[in-house]
Order: sequence, then structure tokens, then C-alpha cells
Amino acid sequence: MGEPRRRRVGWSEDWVSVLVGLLVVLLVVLVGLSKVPWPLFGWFR
Amino acid sequence: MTSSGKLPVGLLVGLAMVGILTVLVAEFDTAIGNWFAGRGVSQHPLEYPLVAVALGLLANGILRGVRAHEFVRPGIRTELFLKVGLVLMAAGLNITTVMKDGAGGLLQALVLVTSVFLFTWWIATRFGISPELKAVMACAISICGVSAAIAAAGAVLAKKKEITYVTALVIVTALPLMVLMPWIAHAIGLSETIAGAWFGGNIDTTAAVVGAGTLYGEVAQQTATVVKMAQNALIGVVAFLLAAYFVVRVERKPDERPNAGVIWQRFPKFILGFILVSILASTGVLSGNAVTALKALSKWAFAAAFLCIGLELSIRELGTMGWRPVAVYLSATVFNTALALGVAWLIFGVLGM
Repeated sequence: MGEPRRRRVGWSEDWVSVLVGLLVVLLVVLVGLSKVPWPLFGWFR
Repeated sequence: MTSSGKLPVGLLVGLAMVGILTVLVAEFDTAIGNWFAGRGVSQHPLEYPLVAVALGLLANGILRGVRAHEFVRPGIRTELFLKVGLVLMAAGLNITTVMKDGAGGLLQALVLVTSVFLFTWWIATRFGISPELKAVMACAISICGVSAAIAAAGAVLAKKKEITYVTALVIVTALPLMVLMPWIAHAIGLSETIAGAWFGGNIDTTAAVVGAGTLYGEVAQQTATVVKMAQNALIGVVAFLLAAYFVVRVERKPDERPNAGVIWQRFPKFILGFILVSILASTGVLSGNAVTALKALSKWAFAAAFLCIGLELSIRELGTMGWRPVAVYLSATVFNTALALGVAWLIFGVLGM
């Protein structure tokens, strides 16, 4: 009944999330994204 | 382009829709925050996950009504948003600061997280709760509510209805505790330090912890925040151990011997990203503005994930969860409240840490 229990399926989405996460960290630190006064960063309290 | 050479229109439209709806969630969150701020509460306790799930459910109904749900489904990527959010969240978990600022907080966190986790696991087993829901609940109650629930859900592959159910329980329970605990602390004459440690050790959402501390006084607020931070720092360790336990024990087939290859294949790799970013934060590579920005971006990813949960959730299915998880959650919260008071009094009152 309902949503089936998922199984671990190799590496795909897990690795993609790690890559995207680390890419964001790189953008923030190396490119200095955090110095840009984006409203994005202050939106959620 | 897809393997058939066509543009993945459904994926792109779905992702754009999730992006626009997440901005709406942020707008609602700001409006709710302003409403509380107008009444003197600086941290609003109605955290964004509830708003996101509610908005997702509404969009879900509309999309099914106009028969567009299947078309945008490729863009509804709950898992991806959840895991990216977790990797980014680790930027806010600086273990070095926790160890420097509050040895007492860390000691209290270790005692409470271990005891409350095991108690919740035990009582949930008695009530016949599934191992995945047990793990999500035990983490939410013993560590820090929503973020710990998300981390556990990623580590054990919990169902969406399980994450939503526990998140709702966390937020609904935190609200009365935020008001009641400062009142009880006044009634029994607790010092600000002990009261703060008690709030930080028991209340599950960080916003409500800060709220309770603010109601009691400045010192209480500082202690509550340090204690909560110490508990948050344990998320990575617990998620790692849970994932390992599930891979080796819970998901093992009867005729399978868990060798290193099987463990590696099934192990949730996002935990490696989480640990790496946590190391970067603890060693000072990430600091100041970068940490603030990454924490905000992690909230964006979580808001998108909860929105996607709403977009795929069935209310009828949520109803099939029954009353037993509520009974387990409330029993474990009562246990946590009593134990946290005793441990806070011992560590911050008797030992004076």
C-alpha cells in the first residue's frame, strides 16, 4: 500500500547531490558569492 | 537533451515550477516572521517546512486537477534537494567552536542524545514502529528536530510520509514547550544557566529553543543556544552510524554476507559530502559570510525538498500512519524533558561546567 520503500540504487543521485553541494561551496568561497548582497541569503529567518 | 535527443521539457518546467513555488514559501516565511516580530518574538517558531508542505499539497491538488502532474513530475526531485541541503547544512556545524565554547554543553549533548535516542528506539520497538520511522523519530527527539529528522531520513531512506509526519510532530510539540518550560523554570526557581541548558537539551527546534531562552533571560538564551549547537554537531556522527547500521543489519538479505563492496555500494554518499563540508567549517576554511550564505542556501534546498514532498504526498496515506507514532513521540518527549532537567542541573548546577 502506498509509497514503496526505496532501495539504494548505486551512486547516481547520491553522488550528484555531493557534486552539486560541493560546487555551491566552491562558488560561495572561491567566486565570493557570499560577498554579493543577494536577498537570497537573508530571506529565510 | 535526453538519450532520445529530445529536450527534457517536463524536467525543465518542473524544476522552474519548484523554484517559483520555493520563492513563494520564502515570502510566506518572511510574512509569518514579521507577524511574530510585531509581537515581540524575534525567532518565529512556525518553521518553513510546514509552509512548504502545505503549499506543495495545494499545488499538488491543482496539478492533478488540470492533469499536468505527470508532465512536471521529472522536476519533483525531493531526494536531490534534501541531500544537497544536508551537504550545505554541514557548513554551520563547527565542532571546534562547540568544543571551545561549551565543554559542559558537549557533555550534556552526549549524555542526552545517547539516552534519548536509545529510549525512543526501545519504546518505538515496543509499539511496532518500522525501523525507518524509528530512526527518524529517535534522531528528531534526541538531537534537534527537523534537520536531524531530514539527515536520518536521508541515511535510512525513509518514506516521504514518515518525514512529513515527524516534522509536523516536531513543530507542534515545540510550540507549547517554548512557552511552558520557561514558566516551569520560573516556578521551580532555576538559575538562568540551568534553565537555558534544560531548554537547549529538550526543545526540538532551534527557533523554539532560542525563543524559550529569550523569554527567560539573556544568559539562559546564550546557554540554550550553545547546548543546542553541541547537539546539532552530533548530527553527522549519528547519520553516519545509522546509515552503517541499516546497510549492515536492517537491509541485509538473509543469504547475504555484508562485505566492504556491498557496504560501499549501499552507503549514502551524501554523508561523505556532509563530513567534508563539516571538516572545512571546523578547520576555519569556511567562516563568516560564507557560512551564513551556505546555511541560507541549505534552507532554500530544504524548502524545495519539503515543497516536493507536498507535491507528491497523499493526505490519505498520511492518515494511515495511525496514533502509535504520536504516542511514541510524546512519551519520548516526556522522558527527554525529565532527563534534560536532571542532566542540566547536574552538569551546570552541581559540577558548575
